[in-house]
Order: sequence, then structure tokens, then C-alpha cells
Amino acid sequence: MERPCKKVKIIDEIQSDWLSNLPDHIIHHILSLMDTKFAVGTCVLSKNWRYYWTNIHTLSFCRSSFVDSQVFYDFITHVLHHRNHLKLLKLEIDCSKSAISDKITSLVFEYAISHGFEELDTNMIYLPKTLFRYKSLKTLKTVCYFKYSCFATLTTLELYYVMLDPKKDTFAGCLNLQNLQLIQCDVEGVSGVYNISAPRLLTLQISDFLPSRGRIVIKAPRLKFFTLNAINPPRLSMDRCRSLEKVNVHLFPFMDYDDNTIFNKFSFNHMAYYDDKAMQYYVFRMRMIAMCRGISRVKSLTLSLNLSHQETWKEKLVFAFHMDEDFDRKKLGRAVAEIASEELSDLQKRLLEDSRSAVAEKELPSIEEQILEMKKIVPPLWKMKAKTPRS
Amino acid sequence: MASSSSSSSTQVKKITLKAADGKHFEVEEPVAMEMETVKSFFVGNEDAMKDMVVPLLNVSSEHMPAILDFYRNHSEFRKRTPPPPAEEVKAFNEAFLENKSDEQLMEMIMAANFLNTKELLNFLTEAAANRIKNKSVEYVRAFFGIENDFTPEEEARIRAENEWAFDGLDED
Repeated sequence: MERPCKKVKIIDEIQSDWLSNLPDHIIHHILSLMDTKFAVGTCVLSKNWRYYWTNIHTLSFCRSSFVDSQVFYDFITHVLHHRNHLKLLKLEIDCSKSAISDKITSLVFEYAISHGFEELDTNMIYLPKTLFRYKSLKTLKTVCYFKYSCFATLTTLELYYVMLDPKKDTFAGCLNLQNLQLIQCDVEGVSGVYNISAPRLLTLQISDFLPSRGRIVIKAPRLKFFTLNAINPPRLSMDRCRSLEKVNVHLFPFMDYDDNTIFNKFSFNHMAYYDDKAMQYYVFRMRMIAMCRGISRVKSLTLSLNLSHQETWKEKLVFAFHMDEDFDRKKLGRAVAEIASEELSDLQKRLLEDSRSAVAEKELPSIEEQILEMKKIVPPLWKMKAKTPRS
Repeated sequence: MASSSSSSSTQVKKITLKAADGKHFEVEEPVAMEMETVKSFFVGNEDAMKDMVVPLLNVSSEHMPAILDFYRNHSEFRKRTPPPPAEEVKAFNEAFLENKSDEQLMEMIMAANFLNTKELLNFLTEAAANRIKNKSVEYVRAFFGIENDFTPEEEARIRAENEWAFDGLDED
């Protein structure tokens, strides 16, 4: 390699000549953050730069950057052949638009495994068998369903659009798993209960878990942080999560706000008037109560509702609560449901008054300001809400 | 100097940092300790904090206020319960880079590297990567201040050797 050796220059020169002094490891890092195709392209910048790309720590191959799979294959061969034999940190393969051949796959994975990679991020539908015998993977983002516990060292797992098997306790064998994200995953069949158990899990995020039926049972004795993004509140059971500190729930209730029938016609005690919207609202409220029962062990709970029309995603925080000792946990569900219902109706009214909802949305303070507000008002509000809402 | 100002300020300890161009900055201790370089300066010598001035050779005074602001905000983000929403952090980070030229970004990367703070360095290098992603050869040369020392023949040869990297790219 004919790269000239850079010497540490004296301070005055660094001040005046900073351009040529960006340290090599930083340039390698910057090039590692991009599509490898672009990183390789920097070889024409200057003599100094000719081989910078060969030190990248992440390989990022995107099939759609190439006209056909033969060019893609040639490029990958070229990169693997010329990259310096340094440890590889991460492998990204994006083949969203077209499949890639077994030949390319095995070539890339053999290289990654022999260079001790720790992180894999791919949307490939099939992963090669050799990977499952590899023991050093720490972070995995995938769209595939398989026995994740075959990676004993796995600490972070992100699953996208995966169809989970309700009969199996999918994550129980992942003994070192600390972070789990389920994004738009679903469960096969119409099972009643889906179990998530993981002995060392610290953070869990579930977004748009599709099955609306059934119940999610989480058994994670060390779980501290749980984030849930959902359209409507799911049924949850988290009694076995004894370390739970914070739960953040973001809901995007799917309701029709365009007319005021829900709130005017509907009364909780008299179902005579219910139409579809009223039913939606009733179900939402019942689900809210059921969900809160499942997470009553938590020390701090925040709930935000996004009731805006689709174009603005501004959320309204409706509940931030620090559970203290004398808090009656059994009543949590009802209290939250009451507050949420009130917010729903308030917001709906405002949206109606101001049919150009964008104006109303802009007036919403940030979630932080709302939390501060909430902390001031929630304790008295809670006492008020503790009395029965039906009269 | 820390003792003289103690009448007005609270009990928070201050550390004096000296930028490359000689300008002094008085910084609260927890903020200063975000910088590994400053932290290691005092390892085993904590008593020196009061009267030592820490020279920061690669950091110009132009960038000090912004960098200190970054530490203050991000350490507050880390402490906050519940954690701040991603949009708030993003908004702060975007504002931080607004109106910063490529040259200023580079200088700050050098500073973050010298101060040895991973969070700031990761954030700035990612910003640099985003600025050059999919840009033309000329643009990237200008960005890094690189002078093309290839002859046209050499450049053509290297392009040919790495032809796959240029497949489908528009040249300009």
C-alpha cells in the first residue's frame, strides 16, 4: 500500500491546515456510514484517498444500486478481495427490490463470519445455513422467523413483519437478549395468548403488533423499559415483570372524528344508541382499562394519544403518572380510561370547532411541557377521578 | 479565579478551559467531565481542578460555546424521565448544525476527536456522511478540501479498476 504515512504535525499547522489533517480513523468511520458503493468511489478523489475505503468497518450492500445481479456480484467480489483484513463490525444487505442469488449470499456471509462481524441488518427472506452455526452475532435486524436462540451472544434483536409462532416461546432461549423490538409483527392463527419471555431483557418495544385478538403475556423479570405503539390498547399481562420502571404507551386510536355523533348520542350505560362509532369508542375504553390492569406493577406510566388528522403527527400527552406506595393500582385502569375519554372528547370538540385542525394542533405544547403540566395536576386529578364516574 | 466568583455563583465547581487561541472558558464541572480528555487530565489529581487551566489544543474558541451547549443538552436528555421524544433530540441536533459550513463541521469533528467524546463525534461524523452521500466526485473533493493529484490518465485507470463503483452514476 503506497499511502503516505501521516505524521502528527505541530499545533500551529493543525490550526492552519486542518483540511488535510482529518485523522484516518475518522475518514474510515465516515466512509463506513455509507453505501459501500459510494465508499469505493472515493478512490478517485486523490492519491491519498485511493485506499481509504479498504479500511471501512461496515459493509453495506444495496442490490438496487446496481443494474443487474451480475454487476452486483462483481462489485461484491471486488470489495471482499480488496478490503483490508480488519475486523468487520457490521454487515448490511438491502435487497428489497429483487432477490439475490445463493452464490452472492454465501460469498458475503463467509467473508463476514471469517472477519468476526457482530451486527447484521438485512431484509433477506432466506439467511444462509452457515450463519446459524456462527456464535458471535450481537445485534440482528431481520424479517425472518427462525430459532433466534441459536445466537447465544445476541443482545439486540429487531424483528420487522415477522410472523411469530404462538405455540413456541420464541425468545426464551435468547439468554443474553437485552433489547427486543417487534415492529409490525403478527402471530399465526387465532391463538388466545402470545408469550414473550426473556430472562435478561431490559428494554422492549412493540409497535403495531397486529393481532387484535388475544393477549400478550410478557415474562421478563429484569425488564425495565417498555414502549408500546399501537392503534388501540392491546390486552397485556406483565405481572412477571418485577423490575418494570417505565412504560410509555403511544396510541393512535382509529376513529372517525368527522362528525359529532359519538359524543352526543352515546352514553356508557345505555347502549341503545350505539352505532359503529360508538361501539369503537366503547371498545377503546374497555381495552384501555384491561391494558392498564396488565401493567399496574410499573413505577411510572405515560400515555399519549395521537388524535390528530393524518398530516400532523403531533401527540397529546394525556397521562403521566408516578406510582407511589399508596396508589390504588386496581383503580388505575378506570382512572386512565376516564382521563383518556375526557381528552378524546375535548380534542374532538376542538377539532370540530376548528375544522382547519392544523391551527389547533400548532397550539399543542411539546410533550415535555405537557408532562410538567401533568405532574402538577395529576395527583389531584387522580383523587377526583377515583370516585365512580357513573352517576 | 474560581474562588473570587464564588460569592455570586452557587456551589457548582467550575473548571477553566483554554481554547487553542488562548481564550478562557469557565465550565461547570459535570459539563467539563463529558470530555474524556479533560477528565483524564485530572485523574489522580482531583485537587488540581480549582486552579488548573486545561489547554485544549485542537479546539478553537469559535466552536467552544456550541460544543458546550451540546454537552449540556445531551446530558440533560440522558437524565430526563421519561426520555425525551426522538423529535426533540432531532430538533436540537438539526439546530446545532444549521448554518454550519462544511469547514466548520470539519473543525468541530477535529475538536470532538481531540476532546474524545464519542457521542459528539458520532453525531458529527454522521452529519458529514449525510452531506456527501451520493454527491459527485468534485463535490466530495471540495468538501474534504482534497486536491486532485492524479493525472487524467491515472484517474481514468483507477476508475476502470473500480468500474462497479461508478456503474449507473451520473458524472458531472
